[in-house]
Amino acid sequence: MLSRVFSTDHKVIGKQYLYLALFSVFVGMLLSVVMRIHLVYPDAKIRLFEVLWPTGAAGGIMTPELYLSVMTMHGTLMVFFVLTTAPQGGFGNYFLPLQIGAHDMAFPRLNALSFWTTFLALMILLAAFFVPGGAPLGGWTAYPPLSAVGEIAGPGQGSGMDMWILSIAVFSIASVMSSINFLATVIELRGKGMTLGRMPLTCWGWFVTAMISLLAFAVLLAAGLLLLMDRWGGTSFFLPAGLVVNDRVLNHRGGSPVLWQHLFWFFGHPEVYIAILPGMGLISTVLSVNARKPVFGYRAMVGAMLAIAGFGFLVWGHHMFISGMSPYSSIAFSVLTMTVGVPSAIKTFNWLGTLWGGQLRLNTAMLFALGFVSLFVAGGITGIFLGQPALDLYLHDTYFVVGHFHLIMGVAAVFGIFTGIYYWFPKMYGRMMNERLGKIHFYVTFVGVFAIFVPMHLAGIVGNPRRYPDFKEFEFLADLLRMHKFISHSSFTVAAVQLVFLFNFFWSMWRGAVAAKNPWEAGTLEWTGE
Amino acid sequence: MNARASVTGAWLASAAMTMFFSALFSALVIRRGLGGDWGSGVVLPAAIWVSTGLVLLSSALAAWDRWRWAALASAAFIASQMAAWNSVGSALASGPAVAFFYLLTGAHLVHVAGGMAALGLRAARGAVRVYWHSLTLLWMVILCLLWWTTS
Repeated sequence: MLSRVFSTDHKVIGKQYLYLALFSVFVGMLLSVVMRIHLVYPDAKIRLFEVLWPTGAAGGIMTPELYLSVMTMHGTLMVFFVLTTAPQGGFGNYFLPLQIGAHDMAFPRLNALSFWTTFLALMILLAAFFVPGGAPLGGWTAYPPLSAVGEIAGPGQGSGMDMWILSIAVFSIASVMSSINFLATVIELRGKGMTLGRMPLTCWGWFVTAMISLLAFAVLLAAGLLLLMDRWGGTSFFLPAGLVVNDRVLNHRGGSPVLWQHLFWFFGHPEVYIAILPGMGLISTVLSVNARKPVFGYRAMVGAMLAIAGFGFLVWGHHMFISGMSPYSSIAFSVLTMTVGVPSAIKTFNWLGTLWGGQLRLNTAMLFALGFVSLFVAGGITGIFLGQPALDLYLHDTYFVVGHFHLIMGVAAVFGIFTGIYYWFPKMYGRMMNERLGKIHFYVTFVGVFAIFVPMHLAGIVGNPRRYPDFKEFEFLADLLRMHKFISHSSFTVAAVQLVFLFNFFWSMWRGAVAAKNPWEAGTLEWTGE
Repeated sequence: MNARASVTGAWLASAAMTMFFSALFSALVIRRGLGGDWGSGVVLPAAIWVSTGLVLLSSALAAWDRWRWAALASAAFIASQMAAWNSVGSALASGPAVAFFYLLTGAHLVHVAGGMAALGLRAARGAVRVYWHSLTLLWMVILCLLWWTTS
C-alpha cells in the first residue's frame, strides 16, 4: 500500500499530479463562485459564508479583507497548483517517457520527491485558511510593502502571508527538481531513432516548459527568501524609509518595493508560458489526429515554442508600466511584448493550416482543442492593447486585465487540460469517457467562459477597478451592476456544468465503454505499448 | 538511473542554482544603487580569504577524485564561514551591506552542505564534481561582490 502511494512509477506520479490539480481546481473554482456571489449580492446574508468563515463573514456578510483573501487563494491555487501542475507534472510525467520510448523518467525517486514536495506546498497553502488572521490578502503577486510588514497590514498579512511565502518557496523547489527530471529525460533517454526533430510536439511542449520552469522558479525562490528576510529578519530589501502603515511608522529604510516586482515578474511572465506551452503541444497533436493530417509546419511550431520561451524572459516589464518605470524602458518592454505576437501567430496559423482540408472528427477532445485556439486568439488580441504603455496606464487596475488574463492564461490552459483528459483517458484508464456528457460539458463551458470574460473587458473600459469587494459606493459603476449579475450567473452555470465533467470522469473510470488500443488512430508511441 | 543522465542532471541543477544566485546578485546591485544608506557597511573579515583558499583546494581535490579530502576541505570551509560570521558580528537588520553579506554567504553555505549530502548519499561522482565546481565558480563571483560592497 505504502509503496503504491509513494510510488516512483511515472504513470502513478502523473496521475497523482492530475488528482492534486483536480482537487485544487475545484477548490479554486468554488472560491471564485464565492467572490462572484459577494460582488453582486454584497448585502445578502449567506449562511454558508458564516459557517466557512465565522469571523470573516460574521452574520453571513463578508468583510472586504475576507474577499481579498478569497481572491488571493483563488489566484494562488489556480496559477501554481492547477496550471503549473496538471499540464506538466500530470500529463508530462505520464506520457513523456511513453512518447519518446523511455522506461521511466530519468530520476524516478526525484520524481516522487517532486510530487510529494508539491503536495506539501499545497498543504501549507491550505493551512493558511486556518492560522490566526486567516488567509493572506496580498493577491497572487504578494506585492510589498504590505506583504513585507506583517500583521499590521491586515489580518491575513501575519501568519497567513508567512504560510503563503513558505508554500511558494517549497513549490519552487519542487518545480526546479521536476524540471531537471524532464530535461534530463528528453536529453538522455530518448529511444533509438527518436531524434529531437522527430519528437511529437507534446514532448517539445514539456521540454521547453521545463527549460522555462528551471530558470524562472529559481528566481522566485530567491525573491521569496528576500521577502521572508524582510518579514522575519528585519532587513529592508523591499521596504523604503518612512513607511507608515495603519498609523504606525515602520523602522525600515532604503529598500524598494519595485525590486520585488522585477524579481516576481521575471518569474511571473515566463510562468504564463509554463501554463500554456504544454497545452499548445497537446492541441497540435489532437488537432492533427482528428483532422487526420500531419501537423502543418512542424519545424516552425518547434521554433515558435522556443521563441516564445526566449521572449518570455524579456517582457516582464509590461506588468510594471504603472510602477513608475522610465518611459524608455516601457517602450523597450512594449516592443518586445509585441514581438511575442509573431511566434504566437505562427502557431495559430499553423493550427489553422493543420485543420485546412482535413476530415474533421468533432469529438470532445477535438472540441476542447478548437476551443483552446479560439480562447488563445481572443485572449491574445487584448494582450496587444495591454502591451501599450499608454493604454495600460488606464486599463491596468481594471477588469479589462482580469478578462484578458483569464481568457489567455486561465481558461485556455484549462481547455488544454480538458483536451488532455478527454484525449488520454482511454490510455490512462482503459475506458472511454461519455461523449454526450463531454459535449454538454464543452458547449456550456465554452459559451459560458466567453459570457463571463468578454463583459469584463467592457467593464474595464468603463473604468471598473479590479480587486474591489463590492461596487456599492461607486455611483459611476451602478449601471454596470446588471452586467456583473450576468457575469456572476454565467459563472454559476459554468461551475455547475463542471459537475457533469466530474461525474463523467469518475463514472467512466469504472463504467465507461472499454477502449480500443488506439481509439483515435493516433501516430504517437503511447498508443502502441501495453 | 544512468551515469550520463546524472551528469546532465547536475549541469541542470547548476543552471538553476546559477539563476537563483543571479537573482540575489541583481538584487544586490539594484539595492546598492538605491539611496545612500549603504554606508561603510562591513569590513570584509580575513576568514573570507581562508574560505576562498579552502574552496579552491576542495575543487582541486574533487578534480583529482580525492573525495574524502575534498569533503574535509569543504567541512573546513564551513568552519571558516562560521568564523567569518562571528567576526562580522553585526545584526542582520543593521544595514543592507550586512544583510547581503549574510544572505550570500548563507545561501552558498546551504548549497555546499547540499553537495556534501549528495556525496554522503553516494550520488554519481561525475555529477557531484560538476555541482562542486559550479559552487566554486559561484563563490568567486560572491567574493568579488562582497569585496566591491564592503570596505
